[in-house]
Amino acid sequence: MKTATGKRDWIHYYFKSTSGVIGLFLVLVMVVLSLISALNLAPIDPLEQNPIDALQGPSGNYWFGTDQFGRDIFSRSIDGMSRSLSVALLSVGIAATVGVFLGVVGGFFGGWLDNLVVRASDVIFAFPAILLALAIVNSLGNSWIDTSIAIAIVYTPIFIRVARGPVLTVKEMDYVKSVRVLGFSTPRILMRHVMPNVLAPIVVQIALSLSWAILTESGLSFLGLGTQPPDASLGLMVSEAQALASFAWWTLAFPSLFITVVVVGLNLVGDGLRDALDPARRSSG
Amino acid sequence: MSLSINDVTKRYRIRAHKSVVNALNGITLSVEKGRTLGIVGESGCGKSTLARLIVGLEPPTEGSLLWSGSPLGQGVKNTIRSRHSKTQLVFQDPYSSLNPRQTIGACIAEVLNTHKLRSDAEITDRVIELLGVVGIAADMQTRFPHQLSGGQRQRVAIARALAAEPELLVLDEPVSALDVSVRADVMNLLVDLKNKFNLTYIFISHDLSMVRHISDEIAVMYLGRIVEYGTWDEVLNNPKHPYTKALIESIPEHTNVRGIDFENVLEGEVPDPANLPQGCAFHLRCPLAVESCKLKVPELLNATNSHLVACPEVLK
Amino acid sequence: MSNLLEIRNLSVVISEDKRVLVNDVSFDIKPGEAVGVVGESGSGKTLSALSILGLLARGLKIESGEIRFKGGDLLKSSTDPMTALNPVMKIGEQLLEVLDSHQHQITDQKGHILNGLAAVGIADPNRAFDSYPHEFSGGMRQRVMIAMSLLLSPELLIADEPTTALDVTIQRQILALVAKERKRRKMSMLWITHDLGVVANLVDRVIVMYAGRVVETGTVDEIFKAPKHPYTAGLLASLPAAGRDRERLESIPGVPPKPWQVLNTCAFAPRCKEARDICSSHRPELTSNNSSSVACFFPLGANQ
Repeated sequence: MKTATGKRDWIHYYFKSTSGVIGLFLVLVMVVLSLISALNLAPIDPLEQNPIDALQGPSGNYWFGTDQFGRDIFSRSIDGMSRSLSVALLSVGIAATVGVFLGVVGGFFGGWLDNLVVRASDVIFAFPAILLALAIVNSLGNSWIDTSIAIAIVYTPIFIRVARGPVLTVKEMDYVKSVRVLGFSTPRILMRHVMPNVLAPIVVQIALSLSWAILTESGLSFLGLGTQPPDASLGLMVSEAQALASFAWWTLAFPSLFITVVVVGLNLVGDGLRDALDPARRSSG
Repeated sequence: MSLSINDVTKRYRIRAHKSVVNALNGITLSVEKGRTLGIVGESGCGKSTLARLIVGLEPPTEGSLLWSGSPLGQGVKNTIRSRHSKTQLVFQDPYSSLNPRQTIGACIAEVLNTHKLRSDAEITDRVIELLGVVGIAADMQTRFPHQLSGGQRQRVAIARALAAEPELLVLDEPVSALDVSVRADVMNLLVDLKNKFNLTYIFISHDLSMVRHISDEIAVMYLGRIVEYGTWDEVLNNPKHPYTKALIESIPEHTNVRGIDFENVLEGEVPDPANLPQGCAFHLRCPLAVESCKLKVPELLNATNSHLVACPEVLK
Repeated sequence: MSNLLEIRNLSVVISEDKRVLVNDVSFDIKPGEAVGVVGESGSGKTLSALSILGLLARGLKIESGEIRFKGGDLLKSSTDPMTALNPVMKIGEQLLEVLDSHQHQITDQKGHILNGLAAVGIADPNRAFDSYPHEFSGGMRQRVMIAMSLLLSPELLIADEPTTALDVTIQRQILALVAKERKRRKMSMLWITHDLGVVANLVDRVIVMYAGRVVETGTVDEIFKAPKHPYTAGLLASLPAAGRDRERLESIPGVPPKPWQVLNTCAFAPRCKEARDICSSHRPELTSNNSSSVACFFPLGANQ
């Protein structure tokens, strides 16, 4: 491994892990399906109602069957997946950016700023995630951006914790002290010497948080506070299918399957990344 | 040009215990350019705190540190950058003093880059030159720290410090973490570099034999104070302070088989720096202690012109 | 006089890839004798000791060799390692646990422990009995560990770098204590360290290891006053000492190799001033001569 650089190494290790490869495959399938929907390439318009075809089982025409309005469940599922992924990406994007920034700055500088950050995140932690999200969505509104902001607020403290802990360790390392003595600027020390050494847990957390965010978005929609009808959302579809599932199983099964696949996939990716990024879990090179 | 440390005190507040630790207490020292000051003492004596103050990692609570007359260390943030090239620090553990995710070439180049010490075109040549100075082959520059031996890493850490073109190098236990058979090589390198670049050294160690080898002057510290100071010869061959004597007697010398005295051992423990006894901090362990030692902290007074001792009993 | 401990042709390898870490090591300890094993990190000194105690880490195994204690199998209670203290257990509980886990005829267990703590210089044994390890300084914890090792009156005490983390004045207290207890109990000792100064002042006989093999053995006087192996001599010459030239240390060029990198040559040859062709093509075997032995084709001080 003499020539391998630190950056390439982890990719190599990632693809050695079976769960990581399976997870990545599942996630990619879901991403491709979402893209098909987002680019309006779905075989049938997800909003188009065909009352004559209502509640039909899976067939050549309707791969996943139809719902009570005769809408195509496959098209609605991939549309819902695309909306779930958008919400997840935006919310985790905001949470990770804000949380990592606050965690790194708080951990590195300490003092009152750090105290404030830690206390604020403790307060948010004290509420159950779904209840807090409910309350925030209620006060913000129902658009997918509002939903994303609500979920972002709920998940920011996790990123603060994940970033702050390793920063506290790394800032006491001699190599950080050395570059301080060498007179490097603080932003440079943070970006070049602290961040690369705390990145691994953050990357893992991003993968795991994406899956939680999808679950939270589905939960909010299920409770009627996320995506509003007639737009499709996996959570909303599950909610509407409750009454129908006893005689039309496909209305519940396929949206649930999509949620499961993407959540399991993202969790496997998270596990794979954790193993690949942690030098202690690899044999010494 | 010289380093002068004037009546420096460093206190740490320990919030959990609501107590104050006096890590350094009225330290006054000076080091002439081109000399090596050895600082020796056991854990808790404040030698590493002093190192951090000299390189500006922390400001002193009281007192001042001057390099050729201009102040070092009032508010770390502002001054540390302006004096990057004056004082540099080499840490004990070369396993943790190099960023594990940076090649050794990049870590030296970064110093040159950040301080614009060379033009972009000259940087590669300068990195190779610096590595050569410490005895590392040029083709090693693409290696990561974990691909080097401990001795090689310490050489890289020294090269990186030299990249900033310092005048004063603080060496905090620079060979203690290295294998015995490579220590001599690194010590010889340090001596060579000092002569070559006309450096001033502060050599901090608990290992008296290394301090004896390299120092011109020696300061012996105990619990935040200097208890003895003088030329190496005076301090080690004619020690005055009872603590210095005990320290010297405690070294198991390999040249003196079965020579260590296990009968008259200095008993007792080093007191907790957060809870120092009144008077002389050494009086609880001291064979010479009298009533007055419990009352007053002894001053550092002249035994000879160049030899200072903080013990009134031996100066009588 | 028969030997207390005999180690014959001990080899330790990494189970997975069979890389050798300790290579064909043999030595004896006589009753009442203090033996020091010196070497740098990776020389195999610690692994040899762990093999004796049956405490090799997972992934390592004894490939071959015999370890005989008094001619038979090793009795765990007769050889006590100076180990570490458990931070979440009171000192008294830990010492009682040692007694509980071995057969003995001690009736007043607590009294025996309090005596043991007093003997190692713990001022208030009763208080120590009910304290946690963190309430003590490093030196005091080391005393407790010594008391723990001596509880069952072992015939052999094995210690691996027990004083390296201590300050020198505290180290001298501990070494003095160990020397005194050894004399009093007529106990044998295996002291493993990289610190040549400690060895010169504490033990009777020295074993020098390099890259997984024994390169020289001898009495403490032979090793320190007339070393035969160029590695031993080079190491001793490289250390600063009182009365030595302060300008220049005699250094040994290069770094020690990994034990598995050198199997059929002299491991020290690339760094050796005395090396000739044969040193890089053949391996010198450990050859005995009275009380000492050396693994070198051209030992120092030999008649040419």
